[in-house]
Amino acid sequence: MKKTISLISLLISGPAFAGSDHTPVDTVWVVVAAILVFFMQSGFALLENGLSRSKNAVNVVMKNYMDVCLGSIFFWALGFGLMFGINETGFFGSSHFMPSFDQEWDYTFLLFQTMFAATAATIASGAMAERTRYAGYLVGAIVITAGIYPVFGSWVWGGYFGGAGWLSELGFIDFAGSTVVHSIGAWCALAGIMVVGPRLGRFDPTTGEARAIPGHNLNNVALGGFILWIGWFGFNAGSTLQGDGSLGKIALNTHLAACAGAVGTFICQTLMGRPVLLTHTINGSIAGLVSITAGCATMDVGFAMITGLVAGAIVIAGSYILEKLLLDDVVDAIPVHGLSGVWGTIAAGLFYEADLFNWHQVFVQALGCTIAFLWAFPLAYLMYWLIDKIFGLRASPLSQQRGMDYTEHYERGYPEFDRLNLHKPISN
Amino acid sequence: MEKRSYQRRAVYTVLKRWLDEATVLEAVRVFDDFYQDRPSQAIHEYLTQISELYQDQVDIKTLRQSLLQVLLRNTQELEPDPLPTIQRQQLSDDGGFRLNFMEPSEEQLALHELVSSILRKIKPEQRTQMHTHIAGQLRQRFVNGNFDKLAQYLLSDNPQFLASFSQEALQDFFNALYVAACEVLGPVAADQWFAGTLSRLQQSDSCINPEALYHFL
Repeated sequence: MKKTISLISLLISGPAFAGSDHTPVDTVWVVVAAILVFFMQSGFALLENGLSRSKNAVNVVMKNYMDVCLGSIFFWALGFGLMFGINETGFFGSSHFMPSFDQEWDYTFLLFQTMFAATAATIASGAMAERTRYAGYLVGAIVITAGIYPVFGSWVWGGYFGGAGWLSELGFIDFAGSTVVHSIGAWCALAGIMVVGPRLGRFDPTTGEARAIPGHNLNNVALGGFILWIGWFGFNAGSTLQGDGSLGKIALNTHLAACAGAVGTFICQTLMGRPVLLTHTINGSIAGLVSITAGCATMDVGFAMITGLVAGAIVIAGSYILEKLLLDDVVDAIPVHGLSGVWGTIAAGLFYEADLFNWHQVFVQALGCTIAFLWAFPLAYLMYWLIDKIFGLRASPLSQQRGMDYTEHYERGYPEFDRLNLHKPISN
Repeated sequence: MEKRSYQRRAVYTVLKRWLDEATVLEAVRVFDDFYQDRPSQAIHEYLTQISELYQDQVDIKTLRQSLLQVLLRNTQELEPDPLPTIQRQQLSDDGGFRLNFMEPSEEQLALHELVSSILRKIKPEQRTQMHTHIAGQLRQRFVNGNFDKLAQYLLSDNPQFLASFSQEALQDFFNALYVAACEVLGPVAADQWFAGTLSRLQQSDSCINPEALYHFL
């Protein structure tokens, strides 16, 4: 019994030898960066809210809100240990579950990583918006933050308290998480939209042609885009985990890649003779941000812009492919976070400052992206399938008719201004 | 079934301009019993018979012209299908007892107004698509003749077919209609159609109380 207790206590607390040489400036910077990453949640919430119909506005915000809350708790309890605990096998951490530390810096590190985990989980919410049941979605978010994300994370960033992840041993580079955070989130989202199915009427049943379902508030979309952009400075520059001289370059690369992403989308749409919509432009910027996340610290400014520019075009192509495959991604999260994440990770190898166009590195990067897909997608598919069978994942047609705000939350986003008075009013 | 209902409604609508309700119903009953499902020539025979019977009340030339116009134009601006009334009469005549035929409630009439306004406005091919789509869904949800009643309702546009349904059943029915509208018209158009119609009902002086609709939405 005593042996069991001491083993559990070792698993929970673990040896705390990491991160003892950080200065107070590092702590201040990383906490500020964590707050910026947390602020990104409001960006996601606004963006997704604006791209959904008004009858689902509250539901989208609630999902974003609660996946931070639940994701943070479960990441602290389980995910952090799996991702950063002592990683002897290279496949997962096995200490620091429900951690409490001796070193103050470790709390800072945990805070920052918790925000990352919440970001990975929230990507699925936008893709699956407007037809996914609240409870089912939250169960999925918990599994992502507590299992799918941290295990893959341990392969790349693991070993903070000892050992190392097997992908990092191969030389895989992903500075701030184009693959670890964004692609993983997007592959979970892809699995989610495949299990949950498209929104009612999204595709013409006879021709299969996609029908546009415009969001209800483009101002929210724009504001969400700006907030994400601001938050990304914390996401990328905070990943240095120290307040040093590299922050400026990382932030500049981040900024210029976002600008180039919007320009890439603009050029792509213009060349195809299509209108350049606000939603495309904002998604182009976010794709630029996602793509530069992997190589923002190791890439020259010019290459950072090329990376963003290409990502902007990838979003348009990805969105088109999804529609052809009859997959309904409300916010284009899969092209933005998944495909651009893959491109950004490969670009990080291709444009690696000290060793440009090293094809071996590019191969390792591509391998890492493939492994990420092979890990996250099947597992998430199985998870959502099980959730669907056990709890029910897809909202009923009645729920979709009335709007998820009413059926899931008994609240309406716009009780006074809702022009769609079709849906049942809520009594006190 | 749809064609039969349409022809019955056309005959009823046109004859109503000249004849009183009882006579029109009788005439429609004759049409149903002897002339439905026969080649188009039968319409002419039928009209000849009508003109002989009611020559003092009917301008046969105008009647013939009006009926052919209505039948060819395939319009939805027709009177509801009189079939339930005819069936009720038949039951009371044949069986010697009066079936307690339920009248639709205020809520049911409001729902009918909403459904009917939408189905009248969409294109004929869309209406056919919607009927096909709804039929698939209703068949799964309604049994024991209720499916037939709802199918007849959709074809006849007569709210009396709704009278025997509970609120929950009609909520189900409306939901099936909404899903079909989303699939056929598109989700945005479907919401706009329903919301627009509801808004018109709220603004109009119609005796329908739109709040009655909330039971089904």
